[in-house]
Amino acid sequence: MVGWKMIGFPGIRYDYRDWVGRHNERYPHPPVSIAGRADWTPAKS
Amino acid sequence: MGRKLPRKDVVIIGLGWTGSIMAYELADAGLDVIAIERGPWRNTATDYPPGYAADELRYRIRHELFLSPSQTTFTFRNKMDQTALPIRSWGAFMPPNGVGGGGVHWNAETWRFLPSDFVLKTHLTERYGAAFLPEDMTIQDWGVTYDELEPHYDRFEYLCGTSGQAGNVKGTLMEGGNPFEGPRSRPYPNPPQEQPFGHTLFGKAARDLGYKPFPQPSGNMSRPYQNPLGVRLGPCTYCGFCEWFGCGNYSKASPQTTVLPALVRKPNFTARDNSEVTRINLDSSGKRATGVTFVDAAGEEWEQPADLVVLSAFAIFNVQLLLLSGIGKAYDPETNTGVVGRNFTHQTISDVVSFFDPTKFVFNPFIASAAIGMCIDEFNGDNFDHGPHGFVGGGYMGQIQTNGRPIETTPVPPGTPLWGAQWKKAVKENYQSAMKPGTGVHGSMYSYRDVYVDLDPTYTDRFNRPLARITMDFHDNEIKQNKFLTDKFAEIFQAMGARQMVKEYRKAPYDVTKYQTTHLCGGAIMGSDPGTSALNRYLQNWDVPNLFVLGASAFPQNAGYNPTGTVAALAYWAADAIRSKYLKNPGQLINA
Repeated sequence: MVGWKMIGFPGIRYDYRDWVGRHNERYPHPPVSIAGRADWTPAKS
Repeated sequence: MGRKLPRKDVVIIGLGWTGSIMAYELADAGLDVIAIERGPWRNTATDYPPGYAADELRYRIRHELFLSPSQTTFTFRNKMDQTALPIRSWGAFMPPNGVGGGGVHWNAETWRFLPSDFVLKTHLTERYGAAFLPEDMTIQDWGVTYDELEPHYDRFEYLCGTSGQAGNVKGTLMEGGNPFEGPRSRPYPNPPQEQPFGHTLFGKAARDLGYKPFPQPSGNMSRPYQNPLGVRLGPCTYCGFCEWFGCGNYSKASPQTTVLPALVRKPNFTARDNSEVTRINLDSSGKRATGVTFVDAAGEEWEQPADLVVLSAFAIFNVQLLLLSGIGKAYDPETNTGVVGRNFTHQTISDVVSFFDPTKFVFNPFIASAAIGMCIDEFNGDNFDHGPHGFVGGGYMGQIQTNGRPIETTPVPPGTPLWGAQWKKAVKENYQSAMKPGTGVHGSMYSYRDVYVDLDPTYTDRFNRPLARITMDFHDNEIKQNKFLTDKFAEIFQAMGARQMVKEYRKAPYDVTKYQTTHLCGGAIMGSDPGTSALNRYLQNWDVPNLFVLGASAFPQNAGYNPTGTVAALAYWAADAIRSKYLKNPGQLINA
């Protein structure tokens, strides 16, 4: 997700209904992939 | 010939938009209907659920929802004196496969053609004189009028839950809609979707320049909707994975989200998927279809007898199957005789990519749907005087950007290296502040004597049948049209404050590797004269009256719009003719 973070692509956030009308405001949330997010997954050891 | 299956009233070849609509209408009339589909059955929940539907690599780059060229393809050449070669990776257009057809991966841009589009030859000749048209241009009237199709456009829009702003309701112009559209009997079933920043900016700049911008009519739901068949769609979430993808959210109108759930409940409807029809069978007179022959996934050949055959595959496959079945005289461009394969067209698409100051503009391009955006129609069809310009045709244009998906949509200014640190820096700087409408200029492509489909003399498919061969190039008329429209389009981005613009004109020769749209049209056209059309005004074959051929293959030439609204309206129009006329007295509906 390094590339996505670099350019500001939030991945598959899926629902932007709260942001479509917020014109010229940078989207604030970090990216989510089709595999979820690493920090949502418990560490293996 | 394969083993014979029990006879049906109707066999439908291809279960996309038109096949689904026709299957529903005829099953609803009480007929026993079977649909045979070359590709797999597709369901939203199992084939493209939200969990992985948004996989750009899998669907956009690797084309998972499309026909695999290893299964079948076409050959292509620009000119009649060239040798055509098979297309081995899709480029200019994306042939669909499977239940739902192109309706699964389409943008859901749901337009009506202009009233003058249906009487194009007559209209242009009356206004500009016959000498104004290029000598080898073969445009024709459709044999059906906008007013006749209006109730059928309406049915499709209410089936889909189209989101939009009416521009003309029964002759009264409506503020904020398209003032050039033909009169509609009632407004769209849903209001337009909310517009993101860049699209809104385009609308404002267009208005400041004196145009009348309007939201693009869209099959992406602006709110929850239940259609007349009782099927429910959910509101679109602007996820930005729509065009080239299936919608996991039941928010994009498709056969799956509008008609199939009602169709499969009918006990008199059955379907076979992964089964390819190889031939329409005729009786010894050659004037009556007796059914079809198809091959199932195991390679077994079967015969499906039926009283009525509906050919509703993707446009060029309709043409190919007519040629392979020996129905209608094949078109010969040398002698200008024959009908099957003539008046084949595509579209004349171009774009303007524009770059804005990143310290002032944040477009969030990933917030989008596939039919979102603001458009103008001042330069479509014959909405403007072509006299001074020396060409005919036109198109709508708009900021209709569908996505900010990072493999596809990372525009960088000209001169940027194609990889490495400088490229990354340019992508980072411009991702949020560049605009790439995609199919921003949606130009018409009119028909010509040397643009057509026939059977390839060399290459065959897995059943040893000749592949369809496309002979297509752009003519000066379309190149002039595109130059004029693209320049007008760029003026709007200039007015929006772009600091740099790249005009991507469409030029000759026609390049089959460069994506335009999937709007292949013509080849089995409708009309009033059996000498120049394969179908009558009800899409009934002139030679074999128990065969109806649905789809964009019926367009005598392509207009400056996405075709699906018209394709579906014609399907309803044909269904209505079958139900109200043909079934009462099966036979040729028109005495030509």
